[in-house]
Amino acid sequence: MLFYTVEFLMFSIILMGGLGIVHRTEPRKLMLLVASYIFYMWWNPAFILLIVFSTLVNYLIGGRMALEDDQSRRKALLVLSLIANLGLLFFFKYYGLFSDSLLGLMRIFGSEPSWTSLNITLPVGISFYTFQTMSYTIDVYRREIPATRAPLDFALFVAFFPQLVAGPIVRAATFLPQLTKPVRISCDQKTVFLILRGFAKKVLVADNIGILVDGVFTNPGAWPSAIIWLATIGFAIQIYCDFSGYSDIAIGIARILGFEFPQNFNHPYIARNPSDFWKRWHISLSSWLRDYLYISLGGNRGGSFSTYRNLMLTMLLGGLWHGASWNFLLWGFLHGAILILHRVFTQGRNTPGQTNLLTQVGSVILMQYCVLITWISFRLTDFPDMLIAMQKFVVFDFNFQLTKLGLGSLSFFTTLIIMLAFVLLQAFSIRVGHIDQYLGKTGKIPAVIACIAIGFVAFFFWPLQQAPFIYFQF
Amino acid sequence: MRMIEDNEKQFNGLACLWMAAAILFGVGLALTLSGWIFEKAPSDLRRTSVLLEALADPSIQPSYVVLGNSVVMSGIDTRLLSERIPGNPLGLNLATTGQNPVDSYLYYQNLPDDLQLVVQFTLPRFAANRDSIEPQKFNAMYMYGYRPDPTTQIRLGDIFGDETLAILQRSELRQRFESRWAIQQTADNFVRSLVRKDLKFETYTFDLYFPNSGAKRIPESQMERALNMRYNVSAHGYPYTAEKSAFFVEAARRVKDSGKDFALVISPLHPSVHQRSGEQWYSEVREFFYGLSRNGNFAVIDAMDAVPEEHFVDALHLSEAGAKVLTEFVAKEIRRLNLEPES
Repeated sequence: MLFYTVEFLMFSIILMGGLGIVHRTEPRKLMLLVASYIFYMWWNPAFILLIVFSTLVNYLIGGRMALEDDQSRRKALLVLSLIANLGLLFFFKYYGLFSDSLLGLMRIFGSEPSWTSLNITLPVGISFYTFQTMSYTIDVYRREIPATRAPLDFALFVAFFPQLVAGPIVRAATFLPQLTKPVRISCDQKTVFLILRGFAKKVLVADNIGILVDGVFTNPGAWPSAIIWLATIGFAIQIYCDFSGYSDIAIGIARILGFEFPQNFNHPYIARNPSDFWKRWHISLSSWLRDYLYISLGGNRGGSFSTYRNLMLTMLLGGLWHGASWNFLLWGFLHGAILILHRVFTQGRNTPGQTNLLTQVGSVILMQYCVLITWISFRLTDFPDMLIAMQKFVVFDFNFQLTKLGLGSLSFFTTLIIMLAFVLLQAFSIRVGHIDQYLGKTGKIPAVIACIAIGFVAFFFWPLQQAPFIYFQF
Repeated sequence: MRMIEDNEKQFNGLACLWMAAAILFGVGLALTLSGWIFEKAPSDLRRTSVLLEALADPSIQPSYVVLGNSVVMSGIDTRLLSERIPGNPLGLNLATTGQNPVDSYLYYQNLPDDLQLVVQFTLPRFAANRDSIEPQKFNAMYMYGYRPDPTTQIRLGDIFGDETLAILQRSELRQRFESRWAIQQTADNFVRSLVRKDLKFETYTFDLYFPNSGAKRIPESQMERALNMRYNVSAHGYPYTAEKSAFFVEAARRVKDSGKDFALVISPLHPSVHQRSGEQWYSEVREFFYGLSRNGNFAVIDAMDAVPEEHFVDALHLSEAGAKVLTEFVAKEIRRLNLEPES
């Protein structure tokens, strides 16, 4: 059930109607849990069993851990929880990659295996809710949060529908305390504009730009460098708008239902260095990886080599989190390498904040150039195509075949206009804070004019082909 | 400031309703203006309106029409064709970009009563693919005033099924919403009209006789790739579909029922297809179309080998010299088959 469909509209109306009738907190929570399960089952009813399993295992282990004082037993329970969580993730997400790779390797060495790879359907959102539940057991193990005694609260924490299938990854420490307070429905101008911002990013920007990006990256060898650049920048905008658009809608819906979620994106394309980038891009995942993986590996407490190793391992696993494909691993590797290089070159130097404007702008351009290269490895799963696109991106061929532009159905110039509009809106957003917050504070007349403009533009630029959210596949 | 923030935290259902109403107003405004904006937007399918207007104009009384895609736009000069037919009857080239025979069929209901001959071009692969009506092209026709009559709806629905019927029966509201493609392509069409002067947009849109004359040949270095892209399927043969067989018979019936003659022309192919697909493939294509002509009692003109290699500007389209060759060939076949319309 996609957020911008009639099904979701009906679902929301029924849910809000139900919540309007029931005023007590516990029945409201139960209603939200049932709604969340229905929302998830819309894709594949059978996979709800995985969520129920994950809920039961982590609730019971967390509860048991809270009762244990013996550190070795607590550790054993944590290991059990990790095996259950990562086991599910590995089987559904990575088994295919590993078995395919093993089969390929065996064939290279002349062996013809008698078994074949399984074709396993990936349960939507499994990476997100698995990381959420893991945050709970790890935090309980570290005694950073108490184990919850309310099974309904825990079940709702795991399955809460707004962020269930594509984040943000909301940690138990953020969500569970909010469930101890009465569930209140609240809606204000700012929240509506946040949701509208999300819809606009996804439907008007990401889906429209995606047509050109898909068209070019289907056969990157056929295009000159200028078009590869255009498509790469287009993909950077597409994936940002697709993913942050989902986050905006999820955060907005959660806010209407009375829950406050953390920000997941903060203008990542003005980041000046890799460390800055990861504080702005998919913040809920990068902070999760930092707190539960990088720091657990030792962080920067060892020498330089162990810090670099930890950075690389964290980014490789961050890449693999996105999907069972070698291109995601390469994407993680490239980001790991960029982080390490940045650390090597900046050790003992002044922080970027103390440099002049020209240096700051140069840092942003250099960082985003690196980010764009990594997006090519993220977007193209076919290795030869990826290499061709990267080569054309890095070694510019100065081939401007203007006569070819504007033919076919890729809408080059419309896409350029949408990209330009995105850049201008981003600049405005950076200047005023965030657009939704700016519009949320305006008077009624400007708000109404903005809404009319949104309705008008949405009618004409509603994409001819809609695409699901990119991060659903993760 | 604090008061503003406190107000923001309160549930404000009325504000939400106001905003929802404003969004709906914006959508309604766009819906109301969509027809007017569609008319004004530079569109690839603007030629559609030119054709519909020509067919509705009582001062234009063609004796025959030629229908097809851009191969026909670049390959048939109806002035020359008329010269080669005794009596020099008036003929119109009603081809548009990407117009497949089902798209052409939509025009049949609008053909003038006095028209005597319909020359319908088809590419061999059309008989094998699943294409029927392309929604965007139909939307352009609809927005320019075309409405399918019950016969068109029923017969195409019978052949191609509910999906095609649903396209033909879309509501006015839905068609207006679907028409946004024209707005989305406005920037591209506008810039293209500035940078592609060689494409002669005026001729391409408004010329009813030879709309795509003077196409330039692509460099030799690109020809091989263009041929590979265009004809890679041919090597594997075409599995001709029953629905397309039924369609061609129906197309001929629809034309003949209104007292006109119908000739189906198999479009010219680049001669390299002989090496790529083999002679067996040509035999199968001919067998299929001539079989249909016997069932449907209509004429087939085989133009697959009518144009030599040097007259192709790319894998598909013809130069002016190529158009002359193809037009002369079609005229000769019309005379041979005794299909000459009277002036």
